[in-house]
Amino acid sequence: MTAGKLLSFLVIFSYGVSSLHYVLYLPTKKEKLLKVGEWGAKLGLLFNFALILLFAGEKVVPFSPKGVFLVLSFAVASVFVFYSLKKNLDLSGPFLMPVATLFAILSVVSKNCLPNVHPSTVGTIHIVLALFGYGFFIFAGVTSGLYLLLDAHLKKKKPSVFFFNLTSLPSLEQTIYTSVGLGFVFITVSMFAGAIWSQQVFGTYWLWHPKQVATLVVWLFYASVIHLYLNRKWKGRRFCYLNLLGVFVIFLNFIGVNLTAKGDVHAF
Amino acid sequence: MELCCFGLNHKTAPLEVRERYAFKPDELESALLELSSVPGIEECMILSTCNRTEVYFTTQKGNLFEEVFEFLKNFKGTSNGDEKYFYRKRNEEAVSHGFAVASGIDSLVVGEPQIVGQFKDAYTVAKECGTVGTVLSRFCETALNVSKKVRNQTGIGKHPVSVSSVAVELAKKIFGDLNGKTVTIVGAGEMAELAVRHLVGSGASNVIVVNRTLSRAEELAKKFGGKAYSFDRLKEAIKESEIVISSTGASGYVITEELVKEIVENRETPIFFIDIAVPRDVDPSVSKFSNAYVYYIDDLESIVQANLKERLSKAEQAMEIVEKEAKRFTAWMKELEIAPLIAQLKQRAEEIRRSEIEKRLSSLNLTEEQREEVENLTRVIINKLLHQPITAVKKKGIYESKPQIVEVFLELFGLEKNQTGSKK
Repeated sequence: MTAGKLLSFLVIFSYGVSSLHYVLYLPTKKEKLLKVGEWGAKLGLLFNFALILLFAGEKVVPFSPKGVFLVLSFAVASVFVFYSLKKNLDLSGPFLMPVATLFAILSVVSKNCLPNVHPSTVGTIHIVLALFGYGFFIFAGVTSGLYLLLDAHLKKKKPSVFFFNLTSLPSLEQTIYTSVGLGFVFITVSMFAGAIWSQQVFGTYWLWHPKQVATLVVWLFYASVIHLYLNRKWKGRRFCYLNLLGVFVIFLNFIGVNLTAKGDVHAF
Repeated sequence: MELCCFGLNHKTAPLEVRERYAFKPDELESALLELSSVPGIEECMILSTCNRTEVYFTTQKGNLFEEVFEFLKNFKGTSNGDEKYFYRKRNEEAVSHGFAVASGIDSLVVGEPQIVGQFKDAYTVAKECGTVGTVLSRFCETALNVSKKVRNQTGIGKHPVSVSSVAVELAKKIFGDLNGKTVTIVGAGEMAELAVRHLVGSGASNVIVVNRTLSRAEELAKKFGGKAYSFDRLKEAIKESEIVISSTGASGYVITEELVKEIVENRETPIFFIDIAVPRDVDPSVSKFSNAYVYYIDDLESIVQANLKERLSKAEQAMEIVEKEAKRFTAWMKELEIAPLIAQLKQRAEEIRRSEIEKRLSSLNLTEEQREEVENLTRVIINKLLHQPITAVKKKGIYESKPQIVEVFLELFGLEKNQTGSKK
């Protein structure tokens, strides 16, 4: 277990250093800080992945609460690194990397006991895809926040760090849309996998379990967000407000339901 | 050898002095040829822009600044008394100054890109005249690389510092791509025209000109291949466009809340008002519509100021890069000076070894193998003996800047310095 402890420490340390440098960039605007932030995030991802592989053998990943948080921090950090490289969205770092760090810390303090279910491939798919879906939704939420900040500062003529460094409102909107779209695909597949898994374990596809209902709510919510966006009805600011609300809904689903569902497969 | 810089710029000399020493492009060639014939000057180049005139040269002699000033005075027909405007920089100071100039850190508008081209031109002319050699060529090429590095790593030139380019940058932030966008220009004025030119240059495809006198509107519209509307069709023009630039001489608001209310409330896309008129043309209450962005001349100016401030802070980061590179370059220069000395020493040792072996080997009657062994043996002895002094002279002479050690080195081994002169 010492290898696990060392790796956990390295993950938290790298993500923490990355977060700190990204946050410090906001007031100081020193480009060097961004570089450190970027490499901290990449290094952390590497350690995080190694840790996942280490625990995957014992089925701790992804079936125990510890494993769930590990995959979640990996999902958030990897979605961030992907977009910050591709779309030059370093400015989402000060918001996303602390979230990834928080999940990494939660993985250390969480139990690694396995719930009373049979680990299976379809179960792994269900969990991992759901967490990556959340990763994309969280990213979309943070980017929506950036959109609203840029918009407000453009309107108020406030030359802030967001005003200077974010390229344009339409390109942010496009990025939010693609990440919401990807998250939606992930969560859809995850729900089907979950239903199949439920059939394998409990003998039925649908149980009216609070978690299933909550996830269905999330799915319906994002389905309507995408629908409204594509119909050109709710674009720009309103689209962004919806995505911020989405992060809140996910939080309720993930934390709220899991904490209340004691002694259950979704419990912590 | 020393690399020196003798020059003046906007910080040290007023305009009337700078213009006395400015070189026209067609003067440069003869100036360079004349300068290179000044005794003691080995390589030289002249950088002359509207904000600076600088002479970069290399020399073995200590102080050539007076001679260079003498040359400038004769060439430009000026009189004594201007020396006080010139700065005199040597070696690392001159190198880091040159790098800072090429990177735009020393410019009047910090980070402006034109200086890169001007620096390149100065180098090209000097190269064509054959007045730059190993050292200055390398100096110029390194300076241009440093300039590129500074731009990439600090983003010093990223944000525009003129009112019209700020307007374009803002439009891009709001609309993303300007392709297919329509710009309406209300009234006429040079600044408005310049802004439209920038917007069209960045992709805006349609231009509508609205003016009280239709003939003037038509005249301006022709320049951009756009349409001309009379003043009573202002509302129509605003409705058709995404960007409205206003610069009329009217005393009251021209674009009022009532005028745009209907247009703005019924559209989904944003509309960007740029008002560069004083007194203002656009009613400030227009900005209360959520998709209307209103910028006045003062707002644009304050963004220009913010961008300038931003550039100054980037310049500090850039100076770190410049100073590091200048250190490396001066180390290379010293190495260039010492390398021939070392080669000379090695060659002399090899000559001694060769002649001694030839003298004695024939009398010894050795087999081929034994002969080979003796050759190797003598080589090893020489290399081991010379290793320490060579490393020491490199270390002290290049990296710790102790020129005395080079003198001692020359003295001890009886080497001649004049063989080291670079090209002329």
